[in-house]
Formats: sequence, structure tokens, C-alpha cells
Amino acid sequence: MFDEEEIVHRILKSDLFAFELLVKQYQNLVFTILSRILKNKEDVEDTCQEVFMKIHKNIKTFQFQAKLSTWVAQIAYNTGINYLKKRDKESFRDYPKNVDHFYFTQDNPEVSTIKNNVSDYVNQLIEQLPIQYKTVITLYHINEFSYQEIEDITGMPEGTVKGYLFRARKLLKEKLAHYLKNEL
Amino acid sequence: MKNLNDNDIQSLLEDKISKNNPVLNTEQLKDYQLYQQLFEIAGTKPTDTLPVDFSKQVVLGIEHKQNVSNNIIYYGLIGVLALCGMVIAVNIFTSDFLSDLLHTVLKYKAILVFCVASFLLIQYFDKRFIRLLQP
Repeated sequence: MFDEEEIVHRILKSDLFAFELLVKQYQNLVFTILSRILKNKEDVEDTCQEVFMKIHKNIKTFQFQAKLSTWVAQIAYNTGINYLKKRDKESFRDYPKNVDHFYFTQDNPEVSTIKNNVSDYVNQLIEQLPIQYKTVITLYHINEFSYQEIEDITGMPEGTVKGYLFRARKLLKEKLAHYLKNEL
Repeated sequence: MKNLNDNDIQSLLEDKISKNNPVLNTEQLKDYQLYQQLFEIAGTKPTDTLPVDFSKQVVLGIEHKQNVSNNIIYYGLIGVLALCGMVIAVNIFTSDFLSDLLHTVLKYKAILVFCVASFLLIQYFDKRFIRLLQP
């Protein structure tokens, strides 16, 4: 059983084994978030390392005001966004495009192959969404954070998070309906 | 029957009321099933993961950083102690030769500071590069 309080206190006493346990506990969470944010998959592992270095450096500032997982996810999200802002300013906007009329890339041979598998098709569509939309989908559905926790992680108001999530899912549902209709 | 829109259907699934099989018309049921499928796909964890030894790599990185900062403190202290030792030695030996030597050294104190700093830097980079070259 992972006891957040005990682990943090041990890390503050310079127990590196306790920190290794923390890394093992949250590495998949950090990896999932950064995989959604960063386009270049080779950068994901390096950035994951950077996230945990930051966690180790700043653990003394963690006052249990939220769950440890929320705090870790917040650092991962901010690190990913800052990395993106430095490396690829074009793909990041503070105010993403409205997905109500979002245009996915045209069908090409690669997308057609992927369409053979519904799950892969939907995941490809999610990958094409603006970063803020695909991040909230990931945090809600894969990482199972609540709206309040997603607000704490991303800094986006709860209403905005809900709006992004609902609009993105509606768009994905429409694409899925169209795809299944063509398949039948 | 209540007229449910997309947001209502999504809320039903979020609240997990789906387990109670809500009463829906044909069109709503189609949308409901599509959203169910979408929720399932979106909630499937990815198969890619980090390497098995990732946590150990992180810890090694932290240990390395700590060693580097400890070395800087260590050699800095040695430099300060060496300087203090020199001052004490000068005070103890009060012959004219030493007085002249001290006068000369103080005249070129910048060179002395540079020599001490260079020594410390050489030690630091020497250890660092030796570590990199070692298998």
C-alpha cells in the first residue's frame, strides 16, 4: 500500500529508495500525460526524467493541500507545455481552436489502414485534437481525475475543462458514427 | 420521454447511471451506444511504457547531481582553508624575508586568487572527465 505521507516524509529525510518508490508509483501517469502533449516520442522519456528531477527538488514545497498524484500530474503537465512552448510554438496556443468545426486531416493511405481498427482510429483522431482538448480527455478518461483535479493540474477553470471535454467527445462521436456507417 | 441531447447522454455515462439502462428512444440509444464505445476506447490505457529501469536511472541522475554539488562545496572549503592557513603562517613567521614575501604576494593577490581557483577547477574537471572516460 502506497502511503503518500510516509513516502514524502522519508524523501525529505534524503531517503532515495523512498523516492524510487514514488517514481515507480507515478511514472506511468507522467508518461501518459507527456505522451499526449509531446509530438516527438523520443523527447518523452527525457522529459519524464526532467519531471521527476523537479519533483525531487520541490518536494519540500508539497504541503498535502491536494493529492500527491494531482501535484505530480501538475508538474508533468507544466513541464510538457513549457517544453512545447520552447520547441514548437506553432503547435501550442494559449486559446485553442474551437473543435466544433475542427478539421481532421484528409483521408490518406495511412489513415485508411488505421481505420481498419476502430480503437486505433479513435486514438489517431484524439492525437490530432488541440493539446488542451486531448490533455483533458487523457486526464479524465485514462488517469481518472475529477474536474476539480483537472482544474488544479492544468489551471483551466472547471467550466472550461467540462466544455472542452464535452465538445471534443461530441466531435469524436460524430466521426465514429460516420466511420461505422461506412464500415457496415 | 425526455428529449436528451449529446451533453445529457455524456452526463449519464459520466454519472455511471448507464448501469440502470436508461429509457431512450432509437436515436438517443444509437448516440448512447456510440458514446459508450468512445468512453471505453478513450479510457483504455496505452501499451507503451517507460523502460523497466527508468526509476533507477532517475535515482542515479539525482545521486550524480548531489555528488557534483558536494564536490564543489568540498573543494571550495579546501581553497578557503588554504588561504586561511597562508594568512596564519605569515603571521607566525615574522622575518623580513617573509614580510617581503607577503608584501609581494599581496601586491599580486589577483594572481594568487586565480591560481587557487584554477587549481580547484582543474580538480573538478579532472574528476568529471575521468569519470566519463572510465568504462
